[in-house]
Amino acid sequence: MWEEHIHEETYQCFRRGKGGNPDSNTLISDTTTVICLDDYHSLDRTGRKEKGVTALDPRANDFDLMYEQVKALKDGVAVEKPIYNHVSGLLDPPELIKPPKILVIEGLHPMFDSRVRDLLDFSIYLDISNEVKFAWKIQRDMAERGHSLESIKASIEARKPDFDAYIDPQKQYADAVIEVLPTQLIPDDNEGKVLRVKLIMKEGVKYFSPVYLFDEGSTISWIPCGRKLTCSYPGIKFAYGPDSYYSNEVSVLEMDGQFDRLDELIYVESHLSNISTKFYGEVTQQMLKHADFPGSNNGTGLFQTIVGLKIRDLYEQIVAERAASTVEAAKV
Amino acid sequence: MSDPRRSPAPSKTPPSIAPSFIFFKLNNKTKNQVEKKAMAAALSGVSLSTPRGVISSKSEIPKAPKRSLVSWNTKIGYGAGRMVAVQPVHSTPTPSGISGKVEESIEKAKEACAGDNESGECAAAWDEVEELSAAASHARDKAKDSDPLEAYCKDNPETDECRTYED
Repeated sequence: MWEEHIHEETYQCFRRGKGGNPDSNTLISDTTTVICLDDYHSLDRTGRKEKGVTALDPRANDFDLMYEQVKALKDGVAVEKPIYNHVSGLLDPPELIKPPKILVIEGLHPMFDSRVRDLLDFSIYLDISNEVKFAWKIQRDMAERGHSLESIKASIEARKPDFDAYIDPQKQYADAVIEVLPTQLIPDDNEGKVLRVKLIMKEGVKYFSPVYLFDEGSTISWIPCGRKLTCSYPGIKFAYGPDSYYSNEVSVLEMDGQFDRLDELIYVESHLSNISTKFYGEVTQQMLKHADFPGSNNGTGLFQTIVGLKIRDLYEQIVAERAASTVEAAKV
Repeated sequence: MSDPRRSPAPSKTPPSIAPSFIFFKLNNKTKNQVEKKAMAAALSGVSLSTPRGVISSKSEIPKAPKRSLVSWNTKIGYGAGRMVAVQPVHSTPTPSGISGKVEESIEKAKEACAGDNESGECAAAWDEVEELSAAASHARDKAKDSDPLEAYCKDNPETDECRTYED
């Protein structure tokens, strides 16, 4: 078993029934349990209010319990995990979580505590730029009674100091960072509809080999639209190359724009290497499966799909290695 | 691979050629009504800038786009929508209990920040707004999943009941 974790500041963890199995990634979902780290709030809503701390503040979270339970699950031991109720702001009675093959932990602080961090086999940080975060929250909240541009802005700003202090620094520990930025294809775009997305992949991570475009390690700028492929406005642009990120050596793959048609996606997939697919067209097939999900036609969907394939690959390597070492041990 | 130019381009992308229009589903009719319409609303509201090369004439927008094989953009998503002056209409309303809590929390946050908007109390109050707003959004998603028409259209997007129309 291994763990991956996701930081997601803009949206709370998705809950789909007990021990939530999100259907968002069909590549691994039948072997996966997702736990939401909000369940490890040590202060409920009233407690946070009394102390004047946000949920982003480590003081509102029980890292000892988080570590104990993630460790137990990794060791194959079931746990009684608390449940934080986002509507009432209270802790509900705990639920039994059995050790899964793949455990995903998602929330605000997956990489904050070094003990928890060290348990993870792979980690992902979703880094949403301020512009895009604002646009997404408007999209999410504007129709809500009581909300206005001012309230959305105020909420982001009031939480920003804690976000900068406790959440953002975690990205330096992530094996993969997905950065979501405004497009550069449309001059002065402030619409937040077309996105530029970067997949920053750490080099030298066990079981994880970064994706590349055309030639591993080179610096490449690629516009797939042209004689062989027609794209609609504002087009699609890729970039790839080595870089450094928090003094780590990384490879960065970037996509600006969005896919409007099937052949664009297939064309792009056929030019990417190391994507850990099991057959030609698997990325395209996965993305079509989720065509009704937001972002499924841009870099957020493409890179999440690729990360899903990488996670499956990582899992299979770990399982294979464990099986091999068991055989080895039996021989002795 | 077939030449993409040979087949008529699926006209699924008016928002990208005409960023001054936004598409959102108006589904405020009763659930029993089988007719579902998406409406293209021309937003004459504040626009910070209009990208060059934009086709902003309404007549440029195809009247009844067919859903292409790739049904991108058929649902309102993270990326859909303008940053400014847009009042998105949620096709599924927020359950009233949560909706009231969101509204109440915003009022309380404004009060909590009235004296000092850098206090812990102020941040905690706006944090509660964020938590409840996210919960409201999830509740809407859940309600949508349990909507029989939505579920049907997910599997049968090409049927008449599930066609979306523009204007």
